[in-house]
Amino acid sequence: MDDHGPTRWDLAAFTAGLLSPKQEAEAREHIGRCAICAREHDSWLRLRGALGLAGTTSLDPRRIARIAALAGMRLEEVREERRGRALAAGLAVAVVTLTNGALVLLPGSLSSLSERLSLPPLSIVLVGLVGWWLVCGAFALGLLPLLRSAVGNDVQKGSVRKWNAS
Amino acid sequence: MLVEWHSRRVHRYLAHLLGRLDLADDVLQDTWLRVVERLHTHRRGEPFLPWLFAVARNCAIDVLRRRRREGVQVGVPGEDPHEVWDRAELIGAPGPSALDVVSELQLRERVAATLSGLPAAYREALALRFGEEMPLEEMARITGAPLSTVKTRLYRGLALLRHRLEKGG
Repeated sequence: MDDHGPTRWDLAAFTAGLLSPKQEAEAREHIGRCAICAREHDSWLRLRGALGLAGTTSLDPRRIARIAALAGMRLEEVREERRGRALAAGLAVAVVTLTNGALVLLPGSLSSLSERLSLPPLSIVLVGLVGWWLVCGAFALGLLPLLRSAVGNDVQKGSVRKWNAS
Repeated sequence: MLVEWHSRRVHRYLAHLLGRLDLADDVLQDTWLRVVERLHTHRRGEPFLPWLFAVARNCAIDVLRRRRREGVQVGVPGEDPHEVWDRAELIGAPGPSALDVVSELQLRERVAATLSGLPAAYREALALRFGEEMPLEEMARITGAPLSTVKTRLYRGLALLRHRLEKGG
């Protein structure tokens, strides 16, 4: 600030809330005793007030209701999609787990498969285990977040509701 | 409920950003559909309104870029205007202003008209700060710009607006 106190530059910044607390205090103090700057500050305040009202738009409540209905429908669709993806992922894991379990647990199934594939039973068990781990890994890395988001939507909505209430 | 609560504010912001009410209507709808699709990306504990405005802003920028590709001359909010900034010219010494003699209603009308002619980055800063009364930090979050850039845009926008209002007589 110069000898005169807040220049027009400082007053514009003051009006926009851009000054530091110390500069703000100086500006406030100067405006209190300088008629020229007080009038200048009033001009900026009028401009600020006009800016606050300048963007008032009329939005038809029916339009808002329509958008709300559309958003609600889309939300249901998104939830359905996520539920579907989570279900598919769960099914994939279940199928692989059951197949592996059946191979190991059902009497004779492992030995007959071993004969048909001409592979030792141990290697079939190992391949089964590796396959199971791969499916579980894919589920954990890629599909689990989807499942979480499908379930977590309500939690998020809850946080938005909480934010609204505060 | 959420849509009813926030639509008017988002619509007002979009109208400033896009400079056209019909476009703001369309983008408002796009915004809510995108919000629904991306609600899971909103972090718990993060204030909702700046996140919502950021989504609206992205939707508006998509529309503006599409219009630009179609050959329409439009300003995109994230792009700072190329200008030679002369502070002394825009903000002179304190003294009587031509604006002091106009009525509140006239001033409001003139501000609205002049505001729509400002570069998009300035328009956005002024709309967020004075229209929506956003803190500077939230403005930075919405626009994805550093705080210093937000302050510069706000200050320059305010100065340019007043300069044009006074030049307009």
